[in-house]
Amino acid sequence: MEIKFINCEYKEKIVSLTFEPSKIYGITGKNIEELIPIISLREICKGQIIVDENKITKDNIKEHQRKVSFVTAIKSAQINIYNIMVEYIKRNNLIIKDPIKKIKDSLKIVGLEDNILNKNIYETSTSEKKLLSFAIYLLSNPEVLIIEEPFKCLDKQNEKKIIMLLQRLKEQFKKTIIIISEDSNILYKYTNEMIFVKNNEILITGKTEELYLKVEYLKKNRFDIPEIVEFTHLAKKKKEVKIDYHKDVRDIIKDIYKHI
Amino acid sequence: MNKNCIEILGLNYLNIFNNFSIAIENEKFITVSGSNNCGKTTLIRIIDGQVPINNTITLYGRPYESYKVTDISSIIQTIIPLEITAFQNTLEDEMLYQMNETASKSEKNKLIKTIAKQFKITKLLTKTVDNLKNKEKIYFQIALALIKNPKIIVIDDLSPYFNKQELIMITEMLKEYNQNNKTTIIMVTSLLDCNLYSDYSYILDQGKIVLEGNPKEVLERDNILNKAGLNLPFMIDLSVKLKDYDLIKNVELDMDRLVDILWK
Repeated sequence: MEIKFINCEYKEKIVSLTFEPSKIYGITGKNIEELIPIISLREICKGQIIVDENKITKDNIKEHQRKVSFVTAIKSAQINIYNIMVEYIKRNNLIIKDPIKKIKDSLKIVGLEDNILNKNIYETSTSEKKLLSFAIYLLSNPEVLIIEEPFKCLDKQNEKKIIMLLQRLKEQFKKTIIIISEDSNILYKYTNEMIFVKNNEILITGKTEELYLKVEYLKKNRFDIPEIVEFTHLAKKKKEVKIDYHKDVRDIIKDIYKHI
Repeated sequence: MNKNCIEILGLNYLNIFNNFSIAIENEKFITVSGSNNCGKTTLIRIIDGQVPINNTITLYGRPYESYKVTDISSIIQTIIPLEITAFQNTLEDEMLYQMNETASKSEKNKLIKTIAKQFKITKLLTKTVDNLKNKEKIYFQIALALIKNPKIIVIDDLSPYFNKQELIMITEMLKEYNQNNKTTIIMVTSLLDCNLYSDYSYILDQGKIVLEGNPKEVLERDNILNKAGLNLPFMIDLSVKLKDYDLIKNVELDMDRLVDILWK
């Protein structure tokens, strides 16, 4: 699903953005939580919003809202996981032929076993809770998933699990993933496109690998630089070394070895 | 005086700890890190006395069970993020109320101002807890713990609520407080960059201490840390790998210095 925001008004500023399918986007900056209702189609802003060449109006927004999910921590009056998932289906009036099959399929996509359905939410680990929230939101089969700090507090193994899930949702299921994060290292490593927001204004958008190399510009605008980029930039600037920008420490080591 | 303020010897608890022992040295700044579900938070709740354990823990050489609950809570202040009572007082009144009765009012006000400034809650002093955002609540929790001037402060992982820069800033402030007041600080953190500010670092994996000692030396043990599923700070990760290739002799934490060493 492609969503275009054309000349939309956000905080008295004009914003134009495009989200394409099968891509992972990153959004960083201060107070960006206020942008979420707009990109998740929960608020209609002045300007044009086009979803797959259909113009969004007050009359048709509801049917499109279901296609965009803001994945948040599980909030439910229920404690049993099966009941939480059933409650989500009911609350969102989802029309599903075989809800049990759908629930099991959602769990399978995120890599959780069926037996988690018998557990209570407080019996699950941090990473299970994160994966479970994906499974719940996948019940409505969204085209776009907005996730805030998906890797926060996860160890390496669980970070890997989540990134594999995001890659799978992007590549196999053609979903658009939007990661909202303050962690420049994560954004540089895992996103395809970046949106930098400053003072409620979209400062710059484009390919992640290109934007994060604008080190001086980003620093001037008080954005964090991924440490691996900062190190390479420093070596290039200070010593005029011809090493390339990499995303993995192992790759930069090989490059340093060649240029010493 | 005991060298250690808290000692746990041969702790068995549920499936988490099996014959677990740890000795926390008095007046030191200690960090405890580990992968998800390694037992960090449970350890904090045991140290805090919330989980009753008999015959295995001592506080300043005396078994926990020989203390009244109120005695333990005046010695140990535990900060579990967002676990805070929503009292009706303003932050300033609550801080005044919690302070040592022997101090004069002007001394109390001066201390409140200093700590409030340090933790950026000066503008919030006239508000009540209900009106605070999550980050502000945690800053207030820390300020409230410090103002009580306990001998030991225990802090559970703040990483879910703050970004890296904020976490490092809080760690620096706690380090300064530890040095100025000789308060023992036990800080659980999943951001290993924070460990570098501590005097002694413990790494837990599946309820066992897999590494302990000088933080810099602990963080150089990349094989064990990787096995425990922890992300190394970038400069440590880069330095350790450069050392493996014999490109540098020592782990460097300063980027500028490392660049100068590599390309003289």
